[in-house]
Amino acid sequence: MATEFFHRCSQIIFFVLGSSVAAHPLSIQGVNTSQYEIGKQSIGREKEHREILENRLDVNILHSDFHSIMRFEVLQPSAYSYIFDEGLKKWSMGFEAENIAVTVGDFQSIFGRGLILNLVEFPDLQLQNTLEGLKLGLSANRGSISLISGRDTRSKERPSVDFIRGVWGTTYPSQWVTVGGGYIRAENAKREFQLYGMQIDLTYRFLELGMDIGRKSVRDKIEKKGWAGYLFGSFLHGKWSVQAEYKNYKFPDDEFSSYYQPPSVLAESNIQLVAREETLLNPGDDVGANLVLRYSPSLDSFFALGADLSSSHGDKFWWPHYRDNDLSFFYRSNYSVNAYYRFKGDFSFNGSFSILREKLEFGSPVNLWACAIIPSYRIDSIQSVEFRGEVKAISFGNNSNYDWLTSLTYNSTLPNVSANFSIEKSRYVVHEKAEIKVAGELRWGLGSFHDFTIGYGSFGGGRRCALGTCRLSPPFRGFKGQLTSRFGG
Amino acid sequence: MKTLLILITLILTLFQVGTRSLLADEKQILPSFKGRDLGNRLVEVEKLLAKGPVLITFWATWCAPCLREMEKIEVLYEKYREKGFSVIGINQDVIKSRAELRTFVKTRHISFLIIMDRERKLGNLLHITALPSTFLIGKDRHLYFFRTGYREGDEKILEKKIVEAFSDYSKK
Repeated sequence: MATEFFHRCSQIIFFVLGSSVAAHPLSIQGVNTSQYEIGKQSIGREKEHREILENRLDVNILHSDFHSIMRFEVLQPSAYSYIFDEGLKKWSMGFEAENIAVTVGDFQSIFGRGLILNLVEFPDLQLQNTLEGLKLGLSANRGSISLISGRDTRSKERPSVDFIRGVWGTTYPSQWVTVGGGYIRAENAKREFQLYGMQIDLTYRFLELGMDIGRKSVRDKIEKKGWAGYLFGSFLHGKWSVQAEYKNYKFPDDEFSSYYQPPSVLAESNIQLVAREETLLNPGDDVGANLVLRYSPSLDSFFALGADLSSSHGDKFWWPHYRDNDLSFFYRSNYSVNAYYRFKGDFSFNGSFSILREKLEFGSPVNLWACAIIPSYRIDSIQSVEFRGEVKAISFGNNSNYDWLTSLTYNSTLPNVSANFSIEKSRYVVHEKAEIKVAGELRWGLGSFHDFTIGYGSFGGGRRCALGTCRLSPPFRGFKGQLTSRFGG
Repeated sequence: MKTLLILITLILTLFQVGTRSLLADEKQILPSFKGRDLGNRLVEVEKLLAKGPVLITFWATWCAPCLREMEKIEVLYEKYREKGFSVIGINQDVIKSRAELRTFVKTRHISFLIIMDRERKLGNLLHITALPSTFLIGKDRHLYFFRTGYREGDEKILEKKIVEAFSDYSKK
């Protein structure tokens, strides 16, 4: 009832603010993105035909301490799970002064490192778990407190509405100590759960320490309880550093798991250069530990050596590449060496080598080794070329496969043009036939605030860095064009 | 009711937008904001702008072009910081603690200010759709430089704009 009340109030305030636009000078800024795609998009193992014409307009209206954010979407055809309403897709309005911030409408919030509450939005991936309701933040010199109350914005597509309420406080006794703690409660027609948690970050000379710990109880016909903890530590001295992490995650399963997330760390010993998957301390793991030793002789270079151990029970994993069944206990170990070095002049080199082994409770172990080399060469002051080569070997039971990826990127800053060409051989599931994927993209800037991109081919999804830019995008095969314009004053 | 609200607000918004120039050569004004750096100190853009131009760059630990750009920005920061030039790196990682980010930044010898924006409040305020996104603002929060992405040679254009922004500070 409370969230309905705030919903109605905010609609009225929104209308009044909108009406006053003509009367009072406001700052209006935004981005408009027009996009056309025709091809196939990967949804799990299926490929769906996709032809869309989409326009997304993000507008901020700012006036003194008030702000309003709106997103309008027009989509043809409207057939996607995320975009279930055309028109006003996202809205919020708020007030922010010295010590107080109020937001009404759609909002995101993270408590701690996400272990207690993790509400985020990735519009390009069409993923979100934001709430619609009220968020109140109070801050002072040495601390802050955040209160939230709202309902799940995806409720229109689900049989029951999830309501979430929570509070999180953080204090900074000194610039080197952060202590936080809080609580959330979520409920729907069938079930409720509560999460208590705390977070501590400490710095002492060369040492950094971080800890998250949480306790969860789920009430249905019976009550289940569990806890989770995460520790991070690092030691830095001169050009050397050591990082270590440990996680023990024993929260009981439930349907509310999208609102929080156990810490998932992208340790550099593997992620950036080799596989696109997040291999270390995977969110599906119950217990894990990770250690990275790094040497950085200069600003332009580093060498790293890493090792990870983790284990998991149940159907929580993110690597459909390696298995077909969904219920197993597995023990994973990963060792890697990573290097990045820039030679004086025009040549730089990235290299990485990784070995991973998974031992299953039933079935054959999975072995993977992966190697990547990425040399790049600067031709002159406006042109550069980067070559990327990756090789992965996977064995699972009687299956052994090799995947390779190469890409060539040409960049030019005059006349503000970038081009990218890539060729890749890979598969989605280990027993499938590997596909050769070819893709090319061209991007040029039209003035300072307009950007035009066209691409054709088969593009990998997730975090993609190409043409000097990184975005989150779904996997796609076909043709796409996009024009992005910023405006405002 | 909802449709009517949308329609009215859209019409009024377009009215305001239509009265302003949408051409790229009009200098945009960025909104002011504040946040806490990795040492829990409050960072206010207005106070930094009183001393000199401010470079704001949105980045993430997994974004390789962002890290290459930050190396170049660090060089410019070391060159112009004594004159009052400031840099704020706004981190867009979702799940990172201050401790982890401090380690990441220190091992890369980055000395400029870093603010965490896990809830994408600043990212939404400035409409960040790709990384890196870099803004150079000067007097009266006017925008002197904006670029999405990093390409070799961008730092040379950026340095020229920093010098131009400084020259406007010396004018009354």
